[in-house]
Amino acid sequence: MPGGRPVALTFGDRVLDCQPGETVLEAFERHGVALSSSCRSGTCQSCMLQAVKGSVPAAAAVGLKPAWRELGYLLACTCRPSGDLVLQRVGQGLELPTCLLERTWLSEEVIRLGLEPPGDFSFRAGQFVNLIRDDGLSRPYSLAGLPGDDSLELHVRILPDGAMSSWLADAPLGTQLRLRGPSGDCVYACDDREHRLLLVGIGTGIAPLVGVTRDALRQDHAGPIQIVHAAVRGTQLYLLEPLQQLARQHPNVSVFGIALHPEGVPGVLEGELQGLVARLAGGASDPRVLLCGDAPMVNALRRQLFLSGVSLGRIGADAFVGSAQAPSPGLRPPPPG
Amino acid sequence: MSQANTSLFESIGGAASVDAAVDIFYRKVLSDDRINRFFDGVDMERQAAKQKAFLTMVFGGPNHYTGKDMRSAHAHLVHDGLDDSHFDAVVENLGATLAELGVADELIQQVAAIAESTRADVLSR
Ligand SMILES: Cc1cc2nc3c(=O)[nH]c(=O)nc-3n(C[C@H](O)[C@H](O)[C@H](O)COP(=O)(O)OP(=O)(O)OC[C@H]3O[C@@H](n4cnc5c(N)ncnc54)[C@H](O)[C@@H]3O)c2cc1C
Ligand code: HEM
Repeated sequence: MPGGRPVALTFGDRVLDCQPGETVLEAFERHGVALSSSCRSGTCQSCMLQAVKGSVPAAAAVGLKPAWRELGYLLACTCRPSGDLVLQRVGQGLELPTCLLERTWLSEEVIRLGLEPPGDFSFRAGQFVNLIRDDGLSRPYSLAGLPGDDSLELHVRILPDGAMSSWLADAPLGTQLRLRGPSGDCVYACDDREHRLLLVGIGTGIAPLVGVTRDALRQDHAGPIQIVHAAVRGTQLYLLEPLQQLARQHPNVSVFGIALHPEGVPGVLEGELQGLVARLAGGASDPRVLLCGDAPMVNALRRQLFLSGVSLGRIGADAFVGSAQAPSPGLRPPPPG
Repeated sequence: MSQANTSLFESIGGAASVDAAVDIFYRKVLSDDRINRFFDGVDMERQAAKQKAFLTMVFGGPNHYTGKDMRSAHAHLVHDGLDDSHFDAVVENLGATLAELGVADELIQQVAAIAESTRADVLSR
């Protein structure tokens, strides 16, 4: 790269200079900052970082999936920045203070929480945060709303002996909490504007997808949006009515409620989720698919879709690891990624 | 680990061919009942990135791998029974992937030879 001035790379509490023509990886190495790398040619994605401020040169995002480009991911080995960048390891946000503002019950077992948005917090609809109690107990929860909403909206399913969820059901409004994040790549990418979106939410996995849907509509998404709201029992489809209403307002939105046991709830399909998703995914056009919720089901669907021909780059998934697993003693560490 | 073989890498189509091959190859591996149990419980997204590292390597691409060495990356699999037959199955899937992408036989042989050169390390011998 000809001429130019050095730029500043902020990484955690360090500020590193990056010389004209130098890549971010080379600058890190020159300063002794450890970063895993392999091919050094923009192929293997070992050295991926996220820019939270500054603009990423297009060459540093070649081959990354649209949602990752949207989130500022870059390959350090091919990134020759033209301006200052604030970088972090992928998915490692800051820890910020927040406070419990409101709580309403959406169904017999799901609460909607409103948290105070921390001053310096930005996110994309569909991402999740780690919610941290003052004794250090921490669990990931998806954000159900859009940036700019009055509060950060979470939908939490209450487990009778769940350390965090049953506490959240009773914690007094005004309780101070911390959150770390945002993380996750189940977000709307504007490359998708003309495409079909297939959004599959299992249990409270529907929460982030409501945010993604609002985001897509706000950006005038032109293709069809198919939303699947799935649960074991029909009465657990706590957002079916508002989603059906949304579908009536937007001709490109369609909503499918599906349960193993519909229990007489009107408009709910009875049957296996895998069959419905296979049928929808196999439709006329190649969809972009987002899968959120119960981990074994999300992983099974992802594998099924991939093996049936959907490229991994077109599948986004948040497996709610921990939400339906065998008891484990003590606190579980937050899940990877 | 073999030397970077830039001309082989470029003949196959460079980084673009890695992108094209990764889905096809990984799909074959996950559908192959001889070997797919080794990939159970590995996160698909992360595994796809590792498949990219794998393909870049065996396509003779630029290789300055700083991740785990081949021996320690596969040691736990050897412990679970990884042997020559599984290694052969991976090489077979690799060949089938390249054939599907229209790569010439002669280049496929070169790729197989690079994969072959890692056999002792991958199988902890
Ligand atoms: C990326 C991500 C996003 C997530 N987003 C959300 C979200 O938006 N909303 C949400 O509600 N959760 C979400 N989760 C799950 C959440 O993080 C917790 O795992 C969940 O709330 C349980 O935590 P807990 O502390 O209440 O229960 P724990 O104390 O961890 O577990 C308590 C007990 O409940 C049992 N148990 C766990 N799940 C079930 C179940 N489904 N049925 C019966 N018993 C069960 C456990 O085996 C254990 O014995 C998400 C997880 C991930 C990884
Ligand atoms: C043909 C030669 C092979 C090469 C060059 C190779 C290369 C690699 C590389 C680069 C990694 C990533 C290591 C890391 O974590 O940094 C890896 C991981 C892995 N390989 Fe191989 N591999 C080979 C053969 C095999 C075979 C025969 C199997 C099994 C059938 C296999 C199964 C795996 C699995 C499961 C992982 C992930 C391990 C984990 O993350 O726990 N590999 N391999």
